[in-house]
Amino acid sequence: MADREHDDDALLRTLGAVAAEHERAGHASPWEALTRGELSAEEAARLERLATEDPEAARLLDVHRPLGEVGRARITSELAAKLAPRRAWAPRAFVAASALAMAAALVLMVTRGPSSHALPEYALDVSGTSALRGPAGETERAPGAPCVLVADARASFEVVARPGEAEPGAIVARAFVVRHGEPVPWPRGLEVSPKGSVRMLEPASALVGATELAIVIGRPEHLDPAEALTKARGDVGSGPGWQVLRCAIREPAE
Amino acid sequence: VAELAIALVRDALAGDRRALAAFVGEMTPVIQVRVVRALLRRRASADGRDIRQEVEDLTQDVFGALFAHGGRALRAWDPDRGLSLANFVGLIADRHAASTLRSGRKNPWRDRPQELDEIESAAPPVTSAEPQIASRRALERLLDRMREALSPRGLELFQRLYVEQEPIDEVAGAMGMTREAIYAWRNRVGKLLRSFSLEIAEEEDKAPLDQAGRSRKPEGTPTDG
Repeated sequence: MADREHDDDALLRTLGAVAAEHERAGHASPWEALTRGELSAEEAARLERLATEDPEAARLLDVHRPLGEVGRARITSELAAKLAPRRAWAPRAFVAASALAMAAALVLMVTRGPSSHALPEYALDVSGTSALRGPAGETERAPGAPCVLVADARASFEVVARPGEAEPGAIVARAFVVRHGEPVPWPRGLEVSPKGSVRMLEPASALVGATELAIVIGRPEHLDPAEALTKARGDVGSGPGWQVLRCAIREPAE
Repeated sequence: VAELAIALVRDALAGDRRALAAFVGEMTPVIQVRVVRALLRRRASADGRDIRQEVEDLTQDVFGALFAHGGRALRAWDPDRGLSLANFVGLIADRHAASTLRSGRKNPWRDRPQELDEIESAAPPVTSAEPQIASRRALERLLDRMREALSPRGLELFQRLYVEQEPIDEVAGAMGMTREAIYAWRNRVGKLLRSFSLEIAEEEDKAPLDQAGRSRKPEGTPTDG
């Protein structure tokens, strides 16, 4: 019996050593640091270069590239949907109790129900030869600041803003590039899909000399050109019926 | 930090959208690295598949598992026991990835409504077999099988006692257990390991050998690190 216990303990220690080795190797791996958003822009660029030269590095880059804003928003929406029915049941329980309770429940359902004025949360996805996925130039991962574009005059970029729910209703979108601290309206209109996604596919040369791209999305009544400019200029990221999404712009690495 | 994490988990479990978004933002890298490690350990069997898509799907599945059954797995996290939220979620991700990749079930926890500790207690008695685990690859497989079978509490015990090698009295105190309860847990896990070891050894024997004399199967090349 004592021998068996000793053997169990020895095997568990061996397995513990294997698990500890996984952890140590993981923490030392630049690929995992990329996932955790702990690499500088230069280190991330080095891995990107490596991936163009070595198929195994390309594979590692593919799996370690951080899940983007769109992926995280999708997970959040799924979890919210999973948890939402519990809350939705509460008013129904009150309905049978009394007429007063019924009135209260109806008010609650109306205020929580779909509204043409409430805007679903939008999230950005970026791609293209001048786009970096995930934060760059930061030592800490910064949720909410994931979009970085490279102002490479020879490249193009694509930015897609997707709503957290399908068919969000009527929206308008306006873009601005920030030059010398002041937002300048984008000279062309943005594509808006029937499902409410907003897309920019543009030459990155238009970003040269700018520090930020701001996309303002909102209900038509909240977003005439002057209001959109005010929102792009401000520090607030969202309000009733509107949202501002921002991408930092940086110069290409030498 | 612990207070912030407690509030975040509480509000996320209550369905607060901002808290959910923050929780997902904070835990996605933690889960993604564990999922990638698990997938890369099985890289040979992944040939021809879209691994990036699997990373995204499995990461999403882990979140689903954390919040399934009213968030039972996530509610098992107790910061007073000393494990950070990130480490706890990482253990759950290890367990979920191991189970899903072995069984092919998208969300094995949905099929297990019973108390998770029962899984450890229900290990079949194996009295005559000794562990036959020799190769590194077999050890990796045994580790995965064990993680798959342990409850969140069992995962914590393994992490603290055998990965971080904390003194047993310290772990017992933090986990609110006696030394005897820990020994009993170890005996139950030992029983599980002997059972799994036999299965794995049989499978290894059936597998072809590589040039170094190690058995060679599609699953489980050495870890990525």
